[in-house]
Amino acid sequence: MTALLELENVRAGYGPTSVLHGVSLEVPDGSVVSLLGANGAGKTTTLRAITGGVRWTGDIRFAGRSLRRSPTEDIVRRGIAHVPEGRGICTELTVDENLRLGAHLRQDKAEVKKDYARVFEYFPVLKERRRLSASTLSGGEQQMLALARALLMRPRLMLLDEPSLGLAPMVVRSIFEIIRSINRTSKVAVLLVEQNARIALDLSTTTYVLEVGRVAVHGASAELQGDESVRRSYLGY
Amino acid sequence: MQRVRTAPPRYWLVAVVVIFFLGFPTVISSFLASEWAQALILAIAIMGLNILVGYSGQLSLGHGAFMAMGAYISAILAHQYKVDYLLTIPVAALTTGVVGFLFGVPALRLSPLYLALATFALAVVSPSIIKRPHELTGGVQGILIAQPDPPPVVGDLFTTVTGTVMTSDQWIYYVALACALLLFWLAWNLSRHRPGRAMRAIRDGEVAAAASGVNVAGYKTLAFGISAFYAGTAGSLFALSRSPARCWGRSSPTSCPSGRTSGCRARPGCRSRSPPRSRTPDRPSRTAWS
Amino acid sequence: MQEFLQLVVSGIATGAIFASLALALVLIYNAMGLVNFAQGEMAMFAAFIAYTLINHGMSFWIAFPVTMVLAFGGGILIQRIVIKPVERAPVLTLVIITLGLATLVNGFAGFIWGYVPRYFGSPFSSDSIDLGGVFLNERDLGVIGVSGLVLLAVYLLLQHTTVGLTLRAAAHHPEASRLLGVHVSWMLALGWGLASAVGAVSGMMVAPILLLEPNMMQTIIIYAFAAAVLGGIESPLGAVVGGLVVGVVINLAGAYIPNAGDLQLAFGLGIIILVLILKPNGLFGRAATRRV
Repeated sequence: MTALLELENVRAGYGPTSVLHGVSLEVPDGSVVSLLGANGAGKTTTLRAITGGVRWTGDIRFAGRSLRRSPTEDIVRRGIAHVPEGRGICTELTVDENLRLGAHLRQDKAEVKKDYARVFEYFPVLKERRRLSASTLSGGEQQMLALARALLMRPRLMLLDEPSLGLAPMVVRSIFEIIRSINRTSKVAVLLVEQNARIALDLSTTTYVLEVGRVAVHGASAELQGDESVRRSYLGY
Repeated sequence: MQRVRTAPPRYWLVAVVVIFFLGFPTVISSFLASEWAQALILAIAIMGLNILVGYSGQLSLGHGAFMAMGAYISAILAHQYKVDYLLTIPVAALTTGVVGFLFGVPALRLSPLYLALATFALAVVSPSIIKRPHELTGGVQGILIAQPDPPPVVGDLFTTVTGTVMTSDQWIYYVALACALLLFWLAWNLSRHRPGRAMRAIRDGEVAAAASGVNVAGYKTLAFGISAFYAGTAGSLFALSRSPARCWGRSSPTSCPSGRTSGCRARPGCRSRSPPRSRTPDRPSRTAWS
Repeated sequence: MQEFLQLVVSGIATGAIFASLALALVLIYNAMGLVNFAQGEMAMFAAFIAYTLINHGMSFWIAFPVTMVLAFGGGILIQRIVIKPVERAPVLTLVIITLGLATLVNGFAGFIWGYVPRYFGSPFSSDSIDLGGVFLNERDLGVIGVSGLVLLAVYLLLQHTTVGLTLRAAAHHPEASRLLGVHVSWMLALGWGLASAVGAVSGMMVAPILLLEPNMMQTIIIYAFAAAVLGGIESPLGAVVGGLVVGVVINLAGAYIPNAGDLQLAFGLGIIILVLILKPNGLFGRAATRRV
C-alpha cells in the first residue's frame, strides 16, 4: 500500500538560501511520524513545503496526487490540517469563531456537531471560554484551540509544528496524550515536528531525523530510541 | 543603506547643463520662457519633497500648503509693504522653513500612514484657512502683484547678447534658474554628507539608525524644515510667475487642495495668459453643511 | 433647546453619511493596512451611476440597490486590476497608488459627465415632522434610516455569517487563514467590493444635499478620515461612532461659533490632528505594538 503522504527528493528554500537539500519521507495512513532535528535543520520548512508555504522542487504526493503548483488553500481543502509554529490562532476573533473557521468548509452539519462535542470532551476549557477573545487564552490553551480547530477540519493528515513549544511539562504531557487519542480514535495520520525528542519518539511509530536539510537517519521510533549512538549524535539525550 | 556614489563628480556635465539653461531663453519666446520657469519652480518644490520623502522617508501630501504659504508671504510683503520682490523670496523661504520645522515636531509621533492622512487633510483644508483673513490675503480674489521688470544691468546685458528687450517673463525665468541652481547645489551637498547619510539611515531603519547614534527626531524634523524651505521658495516664485490658481492644481502630484484642476475648467479665463496677477485660491471651498 | 435638538438630529444625519464612508475606509484598512484615498472618488462615481440610472427613468429606490451592486463589482474589479499586482508593496507606495486612483476616477467622471454641478433629487420630502415642539426634517430622518440600515446590514454580515467570519480572519491573519482553507486573495477583493458598496451609499446620500459633480466628495472624505481616525481606524464600530460625533460636532460648531461656516472643514483637520497627537489609537482602537 502506498503512503498517505510522500515526499520525494524535495528541495526548498527562501530566496537564494536553500534549506532542504533533497528530503524524502513517507507518512503511512493513520500513523504518527515524527520529524526531529536541531534548530535550522529544515523541519518547519518541510511542513511549509507540504502546504505550499515555500517553493519547492522534487515531488510531494498526498493520497496519490501531486501537490505541485497547488495553492495553500486547495492543499488544505484536500484534507491536510497544518498547525503552524506559533499556533496560528486568530487572536482578533473569539474562541468560538476560531473553531467555526476550522469547520467553515464542511457541509455535513450533523457531523460537525458531533465533532464539536468530541472536541469539547478533549478540551473542556475551550467550552468554558467559547465567548472570550482568543487573545485571552494562555499558551497551552491556545495550543489546545489550534488542535481543536484542526480536528474540526476533519483532516486525513495533521501537520503539527512543535506543539510543545513554550508550554509547561504538565501541559505538554496532556497535549501529547490527546494527540495520541486523536490518532487512535479518528484514524488521523500525524506528521509531528518536535524539539523534544523523547516525547516525540514515545508517540510516533516512525521517526526521521533531519540534519542540515537532509534526512540523516530514519527508522522505527522504538529502534532509534534504543540506539545509543543515534541518541547521542542527533537527539542530544 | 545605499553606498554614497564614489564616482568623481562630472563637473563638465553640470557646466553644460547650466550653459544650456542660461542660453535657453535667448532662443525661445517669452511665453515659452515662462513655461520653463514653471518647470524650474516645480523642480525646486520636488527637490524639497525628495529630501523629505526620498531621504527621510516621511510622506507629505500637504506640500501644496507650504507652497501656498511661501506664495502668500511674498505676495503680502510685496503688495502691502512694498518690499522688493527679490527680497521677499528668502524671507518667504525661511519663514516657511521654520513653520515646516515646527510642523515636523508633531509629525514625529505619527506613523507613515497617519502622516500621509494628516498632511492630505492639511492640503485640502488650507484654501479655506487662507482665504479667511481676507483683508490680508484678499480672500477669494487673491492678491494682485505686478510682475517685476528686469533690473537695467541685466536687461542691457540681455539686449547686447540677443538684440531684443528682456521681458519680465524672461527675467523671472532667470531668477527661478538661479534659485534652482543654488538649491540644487545645497541638496546635493546635503545628500552627500552627514545629514544625507543620517536621513537615509532613518528611512531604511529607524531603530537601527538610532542604535548607531543618529539623532532620529532631530534629522526627521530637520528634513521637514528643509523640505518646507524648498516649498516656500517654490511658492514664492510661483506667486511671482503666474496666477497660483494653476499652482494649486499642479504644484506636485501629491498636493491636491480643493481647487484641483477642475477649478481651472470651471473658469476658462484662468488658463489664458491674463494680466500679471497673483490670484490665490480660485474657488471658494465648499462648505458642506451650513 | 429645541434648536439644539434639531441641530443634533441633522448632525446625526450628516454624521451617518460620514459614518458610511468611514466604515468603507476601515474595511479596506483592516483588509490591507492601507487608507484608501480613492474611497471618496469611488463613492462620487457611484453617485453618478445612480444619477444616470435615475435619469433613464429608474426610481431612486431601485437605482439605490442596483448602484450598490455595481459599486460592489467595481470595487472587486479595482482590487483585482489595480491593487492586487502591488499587494506586497510598501504602504507609502500603496498610498500613492490610491491617490493616483483618486485622480483617475475624478478625471474619468469629469470626462464622462463634465464638471458642471448637477441637481440630484432627494428621495425624501423636505417636510418637517413635529415631535413635541421639535421639528425634524424628513430628509435628515431618511438619511439616518437608510444609512443605519446599511450599516446594520454590514454589521450582521461581518459578525454573523460565515463569509463575514472568513473575511475578518483573512484580513487580520492572512497566513493562518490560508492554512484553514480560506481564499485570502479573494477575501481581500470581497473587502474592496464591500467597502465600495458601503461608500456608494454615502455618495448617494450626499448628492442630493450638495450638488453632484466630480469634486463633490473632496470635503466629505476629510470628515470621513476624521471619523475613522477618531474611531481608531481599525474598528468598524468606531468608524460609525466617530462619524456621528464628527457630524454632530461640526453641525453645532457651524451654528454656534460665529462666522464658522468657512472653517467647518478646518474642524475636520483639527479633529484628525488632535486625535493623532493625543490619542493615536482613537476611541475604539487597540494600542498598536511596535515590533523592532
